[in-house]
Amino acid sequence: MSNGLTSGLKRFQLKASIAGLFTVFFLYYLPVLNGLKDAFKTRLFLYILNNPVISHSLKFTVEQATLSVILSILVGVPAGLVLTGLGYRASRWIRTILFTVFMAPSMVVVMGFTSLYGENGILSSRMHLFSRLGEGFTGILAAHVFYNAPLIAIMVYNSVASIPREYWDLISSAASLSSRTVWRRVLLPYMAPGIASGSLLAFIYCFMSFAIPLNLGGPRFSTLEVNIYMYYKILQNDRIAASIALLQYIILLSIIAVMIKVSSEAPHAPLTVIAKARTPRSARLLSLSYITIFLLYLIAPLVGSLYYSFYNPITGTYTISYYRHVLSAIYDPRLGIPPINVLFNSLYYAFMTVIISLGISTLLSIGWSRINEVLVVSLLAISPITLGLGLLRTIPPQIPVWIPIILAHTFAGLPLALRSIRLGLERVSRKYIEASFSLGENLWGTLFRVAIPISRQSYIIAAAFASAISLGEFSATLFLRTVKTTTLAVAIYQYRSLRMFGEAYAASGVLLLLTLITIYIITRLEGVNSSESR
Amino acid sequence: MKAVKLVSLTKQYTRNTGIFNVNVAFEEGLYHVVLGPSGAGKSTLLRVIAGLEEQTSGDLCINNIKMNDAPPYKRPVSLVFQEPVLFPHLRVIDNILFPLEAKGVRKDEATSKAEKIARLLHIGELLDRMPDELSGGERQRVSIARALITEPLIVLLDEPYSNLDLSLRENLRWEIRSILKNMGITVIHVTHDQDEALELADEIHILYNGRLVDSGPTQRVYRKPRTVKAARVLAHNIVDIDGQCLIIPIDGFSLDSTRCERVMPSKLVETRNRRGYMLAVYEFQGNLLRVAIPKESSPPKKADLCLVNFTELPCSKDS
Repeated sequence: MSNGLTSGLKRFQLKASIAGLFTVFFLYYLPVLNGLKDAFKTRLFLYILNNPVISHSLKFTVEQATLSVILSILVGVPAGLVLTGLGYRASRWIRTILFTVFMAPSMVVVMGFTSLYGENGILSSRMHLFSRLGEGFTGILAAHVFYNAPLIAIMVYNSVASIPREYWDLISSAASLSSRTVWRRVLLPYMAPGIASGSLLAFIYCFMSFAIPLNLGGPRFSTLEVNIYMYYKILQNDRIAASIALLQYIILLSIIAVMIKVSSEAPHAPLTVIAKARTPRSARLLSLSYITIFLLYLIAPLVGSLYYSFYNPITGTYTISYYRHVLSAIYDPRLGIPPINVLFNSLYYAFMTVIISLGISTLLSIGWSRINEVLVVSLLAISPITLGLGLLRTIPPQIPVWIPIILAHTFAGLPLALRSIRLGLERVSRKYIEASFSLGENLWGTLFRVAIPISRQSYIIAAAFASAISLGEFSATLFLRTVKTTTLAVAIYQYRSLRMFGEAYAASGVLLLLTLITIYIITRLEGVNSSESR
Repeated sequence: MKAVKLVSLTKQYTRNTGIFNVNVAFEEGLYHVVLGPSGAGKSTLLRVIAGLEEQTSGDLCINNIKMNDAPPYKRPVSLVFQEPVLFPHLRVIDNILFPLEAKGVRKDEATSKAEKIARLLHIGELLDRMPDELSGGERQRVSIARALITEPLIVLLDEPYSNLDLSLRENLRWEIRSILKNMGITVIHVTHDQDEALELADEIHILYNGRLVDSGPTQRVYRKPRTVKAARVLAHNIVDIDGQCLIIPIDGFSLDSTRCERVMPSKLVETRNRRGYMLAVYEFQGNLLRVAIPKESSPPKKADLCLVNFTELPCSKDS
């Protein structure tokens, strides 16, 4: 929405902004503060800092996050640079794959790694060395690189693609410039902020990692997030759990403060695609080989898990019986409900998440300000388990558990949904708003009849983001759920824990399919949007 | 009755931009044209009346009701923008129905009104099209139909024809004027085009640097502007003779100097072709005078220009 039309509009924007901020505070910050209230006692906080198990976990969390980020940079930066040298169509396809990997549900990735590198994995059963990628410290690092190298690659691509075309013309006309100078004087200054903010984001994701260390790491390699879960759910010590959550929150908040500073200096997203770099044939061959191996590394786990969802290793035959099982309406005592209900739960939560995310995002976007930005970015410092802890300790037991689950899913999807809606509403030209007012439509009418319909694509993208994230959300759901509120992601975990791998792969296949549909919608419409803005 | 009255109205953006201390009354049922050069504050004036901008000071009354704080959607005015702003997600018919739906008019009643207004504006065939399937003229017709469908007391036109080609512009502006006059709607039309203003206006109001420098019936303002700045906006000849300014419209001369009160012996400098007449530029005591001459006659190299229509104002008053 435009600013400054009349004081009425300003008041409307202010009211919407306050309503949005109040909703975010009431739904998220308040439960978290309530959940952490025990932790504000100095004695308790000192106790957890001196506890060897927790200090080991903190050390491990920092180590694995740092190493994961370094490896992701080493793998992702060359991939991003290779992408900038490819033609538009090829690079767009590859970026779609990278985006798909980035959005893939964590339990799908766990199953993908299990299918390739786990016990009886496609690769590990042929070469034992690969089994190191399926478990333990190396397994965690490999999965984190799988997730975060695409993020770094996309950010590098965006940074390099935003270099003005004239720079390249200048470089090609100045024959005396060495490639080292070009690297130092042009590429690096443009790439550095992108790599920095991408690395910080990756660090936050790895620091808060839950599904991967829980499934691939085992007890020796548990992050702080896993420890909060263990202390609360297994050891039933909610005070210690709250203290670990507070420690994690403080660390993440500091990182986010740095990230806000870095991202404000980052170059804008590219509007043009740079020309193909003129590279020697041998270098081009090397680049193509690198990107092919990188893509294989990303695609293979997803294909592997799909393969095992149709393959019975005991009989050596192909089957759809696993899918039949996970889509069955017959009660399954191991899940406690009919498996089809798991799918319905996931779809219902995704639907509700979309509705709530769009509502909150619209309120926040109407009166977008620096305060909104800081408050929303600071949400990144709250881990799903911390939120789950807060919601469990705040919401009265008589409230159905699906409500906090949906709130947690909305929380996870909010940053991306909000970004899409905010940009969409900002793009609505002021002239349409003014025309609507001058034709007698009031503020709400203008919002619902003009601004939202004109930015409908952004709303569809936001809905797709929110549903993709809700479908894949694992940490908070596992923390909050009851038997009846199990989702697909949690069911995969349960099947895997029960060593029902076929069913776990099939559930993972269904979840992957649903996620791919949402990603398809996002990438199709984002293309339309970007071509419109061009 | 005054449809719109502005009392000491100021909308200030910066020290020198905006409109300042404007006092004017727009009589009901008339076609008013606000004329002024670019940056004079014409659009600002309309936007303040429409409620899209808030005045810095002063009062705005519509139908004798003070509307200083009324939001735009509560004012009985419709604004037609320079560029036809049709909602891109709505068909033509839905665009036209938009204001009636905002007022909660029943669907069948609204549709019948829309069809009627569409016929009046010759866009009956276009109702099912999307805005991007229309030509510039068709788009402006639709936006005018949309502005008229609620039968507003006042229609504000912000240079609505400036993006159209000449022949379309000339036909459309007269056609729309006739429709508006027949409907008895008060019109405030802003433009920088003097021909358009003189052709359409019952009353002309001249804005210059954010200030109202003349206002009144079209012929009076054209023949006897009350300020030198108004004369400047109307592109009249201004001749400074000892601090007294002679204001002469380009058609205020005659080449027949017999029985003439005031004669200016002048030399021809150049001639320019204009539609319908020839513009001869004469030099008189260091002043260049632009004189409209019928196409069929040829301007003499030396002429005693006779002033048949002029006014005198003290140059220092406002120049």
